[in-house]
Amino acid sequence: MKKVLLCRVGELTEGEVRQVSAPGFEEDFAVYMMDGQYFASDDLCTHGMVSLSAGEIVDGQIFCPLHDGAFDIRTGKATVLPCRIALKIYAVSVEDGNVFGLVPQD
Amino acid sequence: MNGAQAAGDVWDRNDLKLDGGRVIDRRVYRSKDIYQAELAQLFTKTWQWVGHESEVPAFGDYLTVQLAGRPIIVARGEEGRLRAFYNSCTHRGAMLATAAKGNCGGSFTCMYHAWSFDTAGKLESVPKAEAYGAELKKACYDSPAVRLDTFCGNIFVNIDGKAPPLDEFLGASKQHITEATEGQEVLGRVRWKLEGNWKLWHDNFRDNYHPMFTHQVLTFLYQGVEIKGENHDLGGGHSYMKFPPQGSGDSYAKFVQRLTGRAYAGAPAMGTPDKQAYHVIMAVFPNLDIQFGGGNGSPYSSYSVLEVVRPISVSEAIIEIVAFGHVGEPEAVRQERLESLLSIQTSSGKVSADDTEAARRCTIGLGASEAMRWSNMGRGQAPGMSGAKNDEYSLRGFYSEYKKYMGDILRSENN
Repeated sequence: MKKVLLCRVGELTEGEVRQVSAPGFEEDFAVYMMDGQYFASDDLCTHGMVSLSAGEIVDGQIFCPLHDGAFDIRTGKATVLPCRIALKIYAVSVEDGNVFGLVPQD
Repeated sequence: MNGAQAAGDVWDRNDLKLDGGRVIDRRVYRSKDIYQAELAQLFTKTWQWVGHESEVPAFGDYLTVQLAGRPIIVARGEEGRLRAFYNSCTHRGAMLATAAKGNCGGSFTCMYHAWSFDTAGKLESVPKAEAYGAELKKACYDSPAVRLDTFCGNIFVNIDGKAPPLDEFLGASKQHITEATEGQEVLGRVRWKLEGNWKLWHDNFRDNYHPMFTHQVLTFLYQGVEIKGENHDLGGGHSYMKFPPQGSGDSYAKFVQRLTGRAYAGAPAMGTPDKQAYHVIMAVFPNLDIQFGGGNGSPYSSYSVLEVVRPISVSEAIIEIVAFGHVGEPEAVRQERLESLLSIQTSSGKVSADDTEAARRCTIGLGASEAMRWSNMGRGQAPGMSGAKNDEYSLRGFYSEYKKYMGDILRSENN
């Protein structure tokens, strides 16, 4: 498990999503603030080559800006076509004002 | 005259014309007009083998193929159903998939403007679609379906929506396709390019007069041995040749040892003892061939292999060899079988390389077609549809069916 600094508490407002390019990781992450909680996932949509962080959060789902498919932010499950393959999500821990993603290592 | 006749006197005779297919006008291998007619009347109207269900077992699995210049995707849908549609974006025409096979994850997204299609070719999503206002009728932009049907796990497509059903088309060949492929799965494919007309390759498959002369690897088995076996025209352009292993496996083992420097133990047995007792070479009209059978010690021990030849121009074709193995067979047996197959039946195989060279020599030799217009296919004169192994009932059956599809162009080319 590797801890990745995603943002600091207070940087994201409710309903906001942001792209995080973390050192040591080839792929970017997306960090979300929703219902006062933080969530994290891969940033790349599993359907097409696009950053989900450029999309919109509606009803607990992140909508892809390219094809309008969507994923459940809490579970990663694909909820709206053409998205079919689940999005990888990561556990989040908040420590000393920092928001960390917990990324399993192969 | 001193006995030497002018070439025209010998060859350009009316009684050698395409009657009953005993001779064939060599322009079928060289004429661009005839080739265009083949695309329009033969390859777009016959059922074409494109793959086997074992190659696309899961949702999102797909394979691609080009038939008569038309790019096609065969994909398995969420509910397990196989469908075929054109591999072309309905927006600007770019190919949706470029790999020979793969898994699309459920959608094919065009690399050009990212229009996205599902496994049935239905348009799912258009990026930034609001710029079309209310104009874009998405349902009009589904990629058109291509007819698809399967037989014994083999996937066929037909570009012609009105052609007779697959079952009817395969006719008497069905029994033998079942014998060859039932309970089996595809292990892999090898492709290479033939510098010659596609029919030279297909003719070669139906020709069992050449092996004992063309293939040094086999000549050992035929020395001083009576030729046994059968050659059947099954109707509908399909054919079937069956023959027992000939000669001694020892001479083959010696040949392989000389070639490779290591002892040859023979390929593993597969199938029923009855199946191992003979080899079968069958052809499905117009461009599919299947070989199966085997016998211990013989170069063709225990295998099923399928070959399909598809033209890409009048003088070039892609040959594809598809290896089969029994579902659940031990890995070691499979490896041995593949090695045996690769050494015989692929681009550099001991048999296929000879056939490729024969086709190349024919291609250059047929440049003399103006002086020598006809190729004789008259071996086996007894009436009916069956003869000895190296008779040519099978070849005549092919050209007789070929003429039905090609119609007028052969007659006009013939005068």
